[in-house]
Amino acid sequence: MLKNSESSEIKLQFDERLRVFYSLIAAGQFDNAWRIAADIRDQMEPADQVVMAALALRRELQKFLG
Amino acid sequence: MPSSRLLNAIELERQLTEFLVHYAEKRLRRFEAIFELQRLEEITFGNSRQYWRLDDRFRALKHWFNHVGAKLDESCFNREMIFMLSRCVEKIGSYCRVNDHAQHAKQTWFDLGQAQKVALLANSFLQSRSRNLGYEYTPLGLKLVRPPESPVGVETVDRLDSDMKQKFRQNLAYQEQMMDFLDDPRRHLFGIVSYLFGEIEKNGDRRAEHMAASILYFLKIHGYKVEPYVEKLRKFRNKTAV
Repeated sequence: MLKNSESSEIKLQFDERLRVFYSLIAAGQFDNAWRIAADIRDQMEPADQVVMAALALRRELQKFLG
Repeated sequence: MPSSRLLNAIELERQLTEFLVHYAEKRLRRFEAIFELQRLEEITFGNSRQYWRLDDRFRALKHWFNHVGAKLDESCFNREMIFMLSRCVEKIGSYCRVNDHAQHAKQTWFDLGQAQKVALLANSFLQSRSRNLGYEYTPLGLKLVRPPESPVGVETVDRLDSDMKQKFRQNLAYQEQMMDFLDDPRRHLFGIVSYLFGEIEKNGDRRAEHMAASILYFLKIHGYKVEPYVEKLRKFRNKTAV
């Protein structure tokens, strides 16, 4: 089992990655945001998962539009 | 490929991009607000030397509520943040209930009146932030109440304010503030109109409605096709006029 300090360190790392994820989206860097999110996807909350789904749909649309 | 299908795909891609950017900006504001709330927790509960004297702690709290908390975007608060805030407000209230005869109170305290004002400030800050999410802060803690069915304030103020010129000036000031707030080289004026549509849909905000109409007219006289947007604006108008 994880010690408290270890689990808060993991939480901090996750929060920081999530913050970077949203910074990249806000800056219009969707591909980089997608790469970052690949590692933290499983820990995301439902609202963030919706954003992932929107990101995925946008990627597909871009492929479709060439 | 049929052109209407292609157009739909382009429009959907535009809307998704706009949603993603807009939502990401909101989440970043939430990250910032959480950071500031953690700072409030430090001031409220922290044992650092700078807060050993309660009046120093309360001076810092007063500064936080007046200059930091007041600038945090209300719409980015969520349930967890309201609970963080309520724990702080409860602790601040408990400092004010310190027994005057307690030895440590004599050593650390000298301005209870100021402290009570700060406690009131904290309480009203919590009330206003929690109301948006349907909570009410009571002496027993946070209570989930039914959220108001329609935004209060705007209509009442509108009816009371008979000076149309003054009202128009206020709308112009709002438009200027919104332009500053939404100023982003990547965002087109149509993007701002979409944001304002969101505000109208959510709050029935008339100032946003006026601003959207003004931008659309500006775009129209500069040769842009604005009909779909005007149509949408008309639908909002009809809905709020019912």
